Amino acid sequence: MNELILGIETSCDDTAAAVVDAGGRILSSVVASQLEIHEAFGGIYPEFAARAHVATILPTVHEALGRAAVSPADLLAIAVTRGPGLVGSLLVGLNTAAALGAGWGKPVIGVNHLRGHLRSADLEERRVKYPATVLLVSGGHTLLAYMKDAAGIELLGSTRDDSVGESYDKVGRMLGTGYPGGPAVDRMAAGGRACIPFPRPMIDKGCDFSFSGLKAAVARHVEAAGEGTREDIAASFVQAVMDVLIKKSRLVLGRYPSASFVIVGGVAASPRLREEAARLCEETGVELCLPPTRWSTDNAAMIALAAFDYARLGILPPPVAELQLTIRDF
Amino acid sequence: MLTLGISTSSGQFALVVGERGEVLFDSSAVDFSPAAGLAGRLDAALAALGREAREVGCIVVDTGPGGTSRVRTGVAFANALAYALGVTVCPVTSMELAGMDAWARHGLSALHVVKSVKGDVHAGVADGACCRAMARGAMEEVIPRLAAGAGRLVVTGARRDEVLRAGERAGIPLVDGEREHGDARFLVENEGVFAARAARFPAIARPVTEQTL
Repeated sequence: MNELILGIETSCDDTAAAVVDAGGRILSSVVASQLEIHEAFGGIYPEFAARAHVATILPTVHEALGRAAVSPADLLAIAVTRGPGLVGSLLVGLNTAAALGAGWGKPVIGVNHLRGHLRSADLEERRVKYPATVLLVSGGHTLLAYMKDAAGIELLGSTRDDSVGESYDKVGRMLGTGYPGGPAVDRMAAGGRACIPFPRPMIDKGCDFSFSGLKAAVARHVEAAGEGTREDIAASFVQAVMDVLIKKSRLVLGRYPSASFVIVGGVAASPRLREEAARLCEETGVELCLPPTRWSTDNAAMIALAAFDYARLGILPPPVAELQLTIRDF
Repeated sequence: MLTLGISTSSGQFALVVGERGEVLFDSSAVDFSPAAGLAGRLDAALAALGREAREVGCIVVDTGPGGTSRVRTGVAFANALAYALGVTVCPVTSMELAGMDAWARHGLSALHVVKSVKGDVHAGVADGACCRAMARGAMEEVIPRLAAGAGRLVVTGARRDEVLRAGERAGIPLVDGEREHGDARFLVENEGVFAARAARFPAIARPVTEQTL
């Protein structure tokens, strides 16, 4: 049973471990959430995130191996996120993986977190049809990419400042929704009218994104106690975000022949984005590919699955932190 | 059975390998690239000794206080290696490590002081491998409190000059230990003491931080 990889993910505030096979079958996936630690701060407190990883990483790994009913001898390799992410958090996962590899005599593969997100759509079953256009929208990243196949990725555009998820969290804080802001702002938006004309930054300027201007516009509106209820502000913000994401996605789908349109990352769980993307795909005749919401947020199964690409191609980055990785890097 | 000592609370990662209290390999005597990390040092040690990881029977790790990210790195590595090998991990504070060093070199207890958050310091008085008292706070307040009635103490840590001046002002007899941190070799040489303690009070190693003081 040597076709299994143990994945470890500690790039941000969740401690995760999973055992996955080459086909994307998940034997186990365990996530220790730090939500309670960071809630009080309205965002992630990096030092506390790293401390919590130290306390939870081994019980999480132990649980993942136990639920999968495998022993270390059954593993082909250990895969661990090497970046991008919070350096303190990454170092805990990387050093844990390196030590487990040394103790068990297994190779350790340092995986690009962004590659993991892209591969999350193929967890449990093969969903992605290539070539594919991919929209990655999360708390740390916002980008559009084109994938010829599972390993060949071309970056088409990314955010020049804030990510979508970060903007959601900040707007959530302005509106007093609590942390994390994404699901709460979406719920609040469902009860309001998109009647406030917030800007759609860079909407007609290629495939890059910018969300800081939109976030600042919402802040100014809230400070000035402008028109509309909190629900209207949330609805208007969400509409502006959706307009930008969908317009740029439409642009890419028009330029790059795609068999599927894949949306991954935490914001892929947004019901509004799922509805709008479904409409876009109906218009363009492209198959919409959405991973189950449980695989949209950070998890270790996607890291393990991505590592099979690395192993197949013979690309084996060491478990050393790299904070500036882009989607093009392995 | 090999013993592994890991200390990362100071500026340099130290990995020492020994057997029955005798040091066989000390990474501080070898140049490593920054990317080598603890795994690279362990590989080099085992290769130099012609031994294997499965021969490691005990891991002693410095849990700080010290550089927060560095301490976490060492503790995460030690815990995971101990888990993988099914062996004991023995946590030792940087105060205790400084205490062993001071006792061996000066025959005195150590007053080890390291930077903490918000301008505070972590300070501890250690008699050999036993930390008698540890505290966090403003240096002017903490040093007299810890040193009261302790007799002559050897000052260790990066801020020795400031500590010595504070001691002079408070009339406390202090000696400059001329060392920023304890030598990691003492982790291996005193393995028996720490292994006995870990057997009696088994726990996963956790870094010492301002939250735990």
